[in-house]
Amino acid sequence: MTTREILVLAAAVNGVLIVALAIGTALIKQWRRRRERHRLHELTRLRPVLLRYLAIWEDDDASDLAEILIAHRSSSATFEELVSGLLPKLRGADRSVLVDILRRRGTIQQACQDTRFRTSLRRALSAELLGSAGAVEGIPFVARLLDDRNPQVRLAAVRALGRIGTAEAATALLAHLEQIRPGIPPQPVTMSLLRIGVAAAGPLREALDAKNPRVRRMACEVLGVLGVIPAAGTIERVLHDDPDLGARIGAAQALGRLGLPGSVAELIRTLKIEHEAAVLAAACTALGQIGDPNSGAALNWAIGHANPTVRVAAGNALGLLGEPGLELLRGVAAVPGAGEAGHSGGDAAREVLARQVIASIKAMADLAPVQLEFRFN
Amino acid sequence: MSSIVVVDDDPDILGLLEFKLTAAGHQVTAEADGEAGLAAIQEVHPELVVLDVMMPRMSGIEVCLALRRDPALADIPVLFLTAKAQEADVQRGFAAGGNDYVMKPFSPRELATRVDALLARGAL
Repeated sequence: MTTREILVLAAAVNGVLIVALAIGTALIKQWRRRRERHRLHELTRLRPVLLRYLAIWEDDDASDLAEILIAHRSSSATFEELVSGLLPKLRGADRSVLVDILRRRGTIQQACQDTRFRTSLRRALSAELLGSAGAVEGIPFVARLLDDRNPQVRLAAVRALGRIGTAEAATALLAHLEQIRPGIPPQPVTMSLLRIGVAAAGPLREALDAKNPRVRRMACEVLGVLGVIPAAGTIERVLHDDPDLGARIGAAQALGRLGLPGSVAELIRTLKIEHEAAVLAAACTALGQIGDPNSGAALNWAIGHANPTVRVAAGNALGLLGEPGLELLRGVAAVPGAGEAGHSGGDAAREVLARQVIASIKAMADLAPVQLEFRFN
Repeated sequence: MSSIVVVDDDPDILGLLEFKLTAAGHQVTAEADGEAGLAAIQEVHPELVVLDVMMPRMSGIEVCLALRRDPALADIPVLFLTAKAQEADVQRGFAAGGNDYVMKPFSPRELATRVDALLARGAL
């Protein structure tokens, strides 16, 4: 075979391949368009039936509509798509009615099985559906997805467990974080735990003794934000004993958020024994949030700390104690020399006092038009 | 039978409210954006308006303010239905002249009860 013949043959093969590829692409596009048309057609048919059922489910003649929805079968997941879109928008009995339809259709059971499906999209959608429906029976299936190879599926699982919102869901999330290298960054887990709310209090309190410091830290933070007051004693123990810096900071922040005067003694003790500036600053801030005047002396000592972050946190905290704290701040600001802890806290004290003055001037300025209005009236 | 205009850019919610309020015996006009909603209100002169807050073209707050400025429409009760759940958002809704506020996710049953209460109050 000559070179010319080889070139002609290669060009012919190329041409055939290009034509085949073009035909293949066109067929795939057409198939997708048809599938999309079918999906939209189904949505147009199903949406009114579903919405009408939701509007009249309390009436006697609604059972016919329920039967239509339960019996509806399709090659696409149009019904599930429709319901997944509606569930997060509803609450109360109307939402429960929708979940009941899903159960009776076997959709919840199918979603549990689909968490093992080969395509990641299907696994993620299954998790979303189980989460939106608040399907408690789906917890073990969704929890397994926390270790999925696809990060989007893992995130969908975290969100779903947050939506299911039970203690078991919280336990699954915290257990996942206990792993040496969890597949989910801590922030989405925190958001889901917050979404679960007080139902997560039990597992979170247990997590204060977790092996992984990351879990202890998160448990402190979430317990503080949720305001779980019975956990205060255990959080104080974390502040006192935990070898992890982050956990101690989280504990101090949580105690500040809880705002219990009973925690003041432990926070003051922390100011005396703690070496890490970040923990000291968090403890000062917590004392300010609690606002007990009895913490004045300890904060007055902390305002002379060598670390400026601690000094400013102590100054801010003193500013929150009201007149007794301001009196101490004025005293520190007036003395140019060394403070009680060996350093001058004057810089922090003067900064806090200056901010107080500016705030009061601003408040007066905001009040002025009102006073003028009164004068004219 | 009362005439109600519902304005929401979410087709699911719009459809659901249309069915729910129609099933409750009201005559419902549904619109998907603020501008069209305001036009419908001006045309229909309904006894009540259900407004979403965040909508394309014209927000629910803007629609409500426009109603309150128009002497012919100023007395129509407005119920806000919105995902904006912050205290400041609720205040803004009432400051704009809203009469009630329902947060999403919502219960259509509860919303229908509030609609009835507002209509009853307006009829007094």
